[in-house]
Amino acid sequence: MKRYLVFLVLVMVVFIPVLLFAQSAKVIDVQGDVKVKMGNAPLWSKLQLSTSLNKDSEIKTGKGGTCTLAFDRKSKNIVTIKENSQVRLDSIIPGDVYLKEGRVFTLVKDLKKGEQFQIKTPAAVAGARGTGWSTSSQGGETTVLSFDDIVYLVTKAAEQNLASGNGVNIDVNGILGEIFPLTDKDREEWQDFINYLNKLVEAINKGSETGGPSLEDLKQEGRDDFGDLRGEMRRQEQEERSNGRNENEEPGGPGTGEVVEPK
Amino acid sequence: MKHKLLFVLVGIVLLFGLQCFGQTIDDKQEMREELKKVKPPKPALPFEWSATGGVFSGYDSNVNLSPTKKGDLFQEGMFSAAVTKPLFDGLRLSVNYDFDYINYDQMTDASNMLNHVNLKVSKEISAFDLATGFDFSSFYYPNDENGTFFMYKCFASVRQYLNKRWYHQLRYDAVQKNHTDRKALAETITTYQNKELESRRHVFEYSTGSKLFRDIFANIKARFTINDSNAKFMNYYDYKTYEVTPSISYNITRDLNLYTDFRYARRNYKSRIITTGTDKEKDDLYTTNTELRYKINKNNIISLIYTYRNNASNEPLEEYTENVISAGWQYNF
Repeated sequence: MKRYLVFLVLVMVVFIPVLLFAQSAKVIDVQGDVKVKMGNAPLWSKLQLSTSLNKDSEIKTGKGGTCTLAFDRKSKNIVTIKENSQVRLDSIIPGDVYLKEGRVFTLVKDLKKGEQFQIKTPAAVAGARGTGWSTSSQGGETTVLSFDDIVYLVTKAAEQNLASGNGVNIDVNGILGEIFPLTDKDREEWQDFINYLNKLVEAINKGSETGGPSLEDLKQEGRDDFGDLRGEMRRQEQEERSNGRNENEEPGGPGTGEVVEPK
Repeated sequence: MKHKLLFVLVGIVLLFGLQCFGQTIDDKQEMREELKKVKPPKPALPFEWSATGGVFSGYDSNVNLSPTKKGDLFQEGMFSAAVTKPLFDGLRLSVNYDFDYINYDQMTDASNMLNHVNLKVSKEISAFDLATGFDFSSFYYPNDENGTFFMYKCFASVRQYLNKRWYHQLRYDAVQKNHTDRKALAETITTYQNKELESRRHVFEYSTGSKLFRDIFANIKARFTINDSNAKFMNYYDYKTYEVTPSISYNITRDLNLYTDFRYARRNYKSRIITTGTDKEKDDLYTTNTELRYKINKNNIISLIYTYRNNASNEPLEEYTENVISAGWQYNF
């Protein structure tokens, strides 16, 4: 009975899912001056890599500080908080971030059906189901740049679908400005962000394919089999040489050669 | 009069005061509701895909994996493609195809072509990734009919993400390996049955991987294999293999990656006796791969690869060492 209990405890410890996992955002990168205030804590503290952040956590970045959060297990829903910014996590699932001041880059690739991810500022709400965009908030004014697919905007004064490759300014009263095309500098910044993310998530996703061999595994299998075949042939040659020597010593011995058994 | 003034003042406060304090909770809720009404964008494609092709050239110091080494130059071409499509209820279908062709300059018997297809259905349930599927590989030797074989696998795996940086996984493969022209050994090493060599194999694998630091990912894999074949002579290809393979991937810079792994495999043959005595054959195979990859840009990668194999066996005919070095270019579509 004791053994069964020990086994059960081991199974629970190793294989029962970690429930908190799904209900927090994970800090997957921190650089420079980044502080956090979690829940009802009165003071700011230095944010550490791999910290799990719950709802209502606040993050503040100083000059040169950046921080990247993953809102899902596979790091497909990402927010990068740039320098001189302050955000609050209003919800983890679905993702809902309040940007008080500063700039964030958002890339959303894996939401459940019916879910949406949104970035709110004092002037607007920018949301999407699967795209990448940046949101800036300075002095109550908001700028949204859409890079990947449509971002939909809601303000006090208007609603707008912002197509990929465009940006828009929103003033403190929620009035949308003229839509403008992204500049080369905007696109370069976005590409730098993508490259940075690819490098960040690449390591944890490398080798993460479940089921089925890799090409290297298969080539190894091929070499192993080839080695087996060659080994068998060497043994046969040695046997045949040995039989040949025996025949020379004992005249009239049996001949060698391939013999195939009848069916 | 005083009361009237007070009433007007209160009215002004009630009408306009709330706006001075910014958005109320009701306004935010209203915005959320409005957001839901706006039609969501459709995804660009209903599936994800990736493909890569490459060419390599190199030198192999012991092509035949023999105690008497003989080296040769080779050229290699490869192509891999993968498509993933969400199905329903969180199920995903993945199809992977790989092609690899190695051509040796002089020892052409060893030249071979690999075709591989993998079909997998997977589902995420909380912190678990469940997968099952079917795998087919064909190894074709254009200049050595004895070398050609097919492998059919059914597999199942369960992966658990312990946190965002660490996972572990159990996997089982049931394998059927059929040679197309190589006969199965009969009662002696020089006689054959009137049927092709076949093997049935069970593979159990446990692996765990973790992001140790920002630029370093480590993985360790332990594998147990039971192989049972229809070769009669000494149950020639019946064996058990115990393997362990640790590996490390390190992003030296943004564009430069170093990958290295080390594999130790101990193969214990069930009844195969060595030629120099009466002991059963035991092989210790040590393999190490090191790859340096430089990403020129999003699409182009150049690599330098070195592989060392050493089979230390109590059977002198099976002992060999091999060094392979190659360099090449890969293109990501």
